[in-house]
Amino acid sequence: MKLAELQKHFIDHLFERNSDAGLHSIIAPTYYGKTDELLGIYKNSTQHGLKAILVDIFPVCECLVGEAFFGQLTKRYILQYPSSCFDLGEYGNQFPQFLSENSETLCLETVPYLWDVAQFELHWHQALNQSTEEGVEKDAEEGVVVVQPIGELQMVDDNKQSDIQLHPPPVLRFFESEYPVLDIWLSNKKNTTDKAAIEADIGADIDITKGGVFVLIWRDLSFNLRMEKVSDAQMAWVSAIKNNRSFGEMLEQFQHSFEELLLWSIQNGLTIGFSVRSNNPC
Amino acid sequence: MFANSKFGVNNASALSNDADLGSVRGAGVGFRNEHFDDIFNLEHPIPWFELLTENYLTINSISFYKAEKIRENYPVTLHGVGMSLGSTDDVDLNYLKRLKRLVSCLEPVYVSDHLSWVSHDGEFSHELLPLPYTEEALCHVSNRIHQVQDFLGRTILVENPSSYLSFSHSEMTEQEFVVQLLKMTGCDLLLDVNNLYVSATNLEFDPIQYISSLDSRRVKEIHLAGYENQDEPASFLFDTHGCSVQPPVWALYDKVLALFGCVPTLVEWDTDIPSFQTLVKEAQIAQCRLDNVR
Repeated sequence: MKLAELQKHFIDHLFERNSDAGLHSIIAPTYYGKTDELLGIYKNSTQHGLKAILVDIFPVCECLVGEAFFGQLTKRYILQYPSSCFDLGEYGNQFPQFLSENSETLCLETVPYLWDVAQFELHWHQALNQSTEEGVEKDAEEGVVVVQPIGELQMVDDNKQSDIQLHPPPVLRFFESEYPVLDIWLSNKKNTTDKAAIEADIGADIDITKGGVFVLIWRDLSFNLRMEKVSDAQMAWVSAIKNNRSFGEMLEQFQHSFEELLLWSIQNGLTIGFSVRSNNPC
Repeated sequence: MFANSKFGVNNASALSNDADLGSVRGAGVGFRNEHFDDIFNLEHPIPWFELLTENYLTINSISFYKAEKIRENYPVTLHGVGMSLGSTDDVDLNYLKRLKRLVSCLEPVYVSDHLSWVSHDGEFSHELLPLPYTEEALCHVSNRIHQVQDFLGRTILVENPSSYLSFSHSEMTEQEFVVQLLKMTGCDLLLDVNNLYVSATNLEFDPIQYISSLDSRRVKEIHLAGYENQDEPASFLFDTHGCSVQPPVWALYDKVLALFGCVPTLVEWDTDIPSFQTLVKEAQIAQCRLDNVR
């Protein structure tokens, strides 16, 4: 059997597709086990490894549906979505979509927020592993060259202030859900250092009808990953920063809340610096 | 750039600032995130670390920062599973580009991967899968290694696999395949003594004959790890990397050292990861054996 054909049969076996007949005939007999058992070592190890990755990325999803049921979900995902990249960090990218598409057949009606929790956990995982260079490259494309420390904001000339552009942290993600996903996540996450404080803050019982949530997830220059539940206005403010709005445009948009939101974003590390638009004719 | 980071690298006495960062000697250990603080805060004799390539391919990620910190203070090697040297897919240029960039950032003493394949037709098992030892496979893997070495501009090390099965249409033994491969490609060998013992037991061949057939000049690094039995006493061995190095592997390691001399040795422990101190003790056992060879 040619190498390519062998590898096709082997991969099909790992992901439980087609008959193994062709493969069985070329496995040398051993004292220790039947060919089924020998091939099963590789299949189990492959599926176990991929499941471990999903458990690592989606720990609260597993907690919400239980280990056994999550095992069934991941098994179906592994067979339906084999990994297509050498980077295992990308393996869970389609898991929320898989949950959404198969919600009925997977009987997920009793946990309607599971998809949202999976999306949130994926955002968290991606923010943790994202390169800071991705944000820098985008800025470079947009022609922003000199980023000044936020502490020098007051030194900008009055006639240039409307051209100021704030810069967000290198890793910034927006999350929105109609469910209180952050409360669900915090109260179910294992290894949380201050479980009692979290329960005191959000209550032992979570009312899933109490309304949705906006959450920002960001990473600062010291690699600290942070998240915060934010108001509509705060979300709009950070979106404006992300979209390179100038001070002039933001003052018009946020009017009386401008100073308060500026202070909030600086204090929380959501503004790491600023630049002054150089192409403004003024 | 990272002086004020959250990781607080603050115990200068633990750092091997005087070490030669361009070579590896003695018994090192595989770096695991869980041990990052201990590496810098505890006094320990570990002279070098191995980094798992795929964990650091994203430059300027948190993981990469940690690798960079390790590299600033210790010699490192890069050990991967993603080259898929035996795969019949085209060589993944995206992977190689990212690897090359990582190599230029970290300047590892060695870059290594496995005599196996992990992907076919764009699907990745992330598992080290077995090759048939045929002329076709030898030619194919040889070409792939040439491609990789040309792209990276350096020689790589290839690690012998741990095997649970063999193919009836193989035309040569694993040792013959490895010897030929080293001759054809100029690559060097990362001799995993645990893998050798596991494969020799499971597939019933003589590990001493295996090591005796190798050119000592080509064995640049040794790996040690723990295996586990499926059932006692007539056991099938699993290369789990989740426990201490087993006595028969230490015995085989002694024979390897007697044959090849003081080859830099790495203790791997990838599942049920123990405390850093436990890993250090394991490495010290290897170091004592290395010292006895001198």
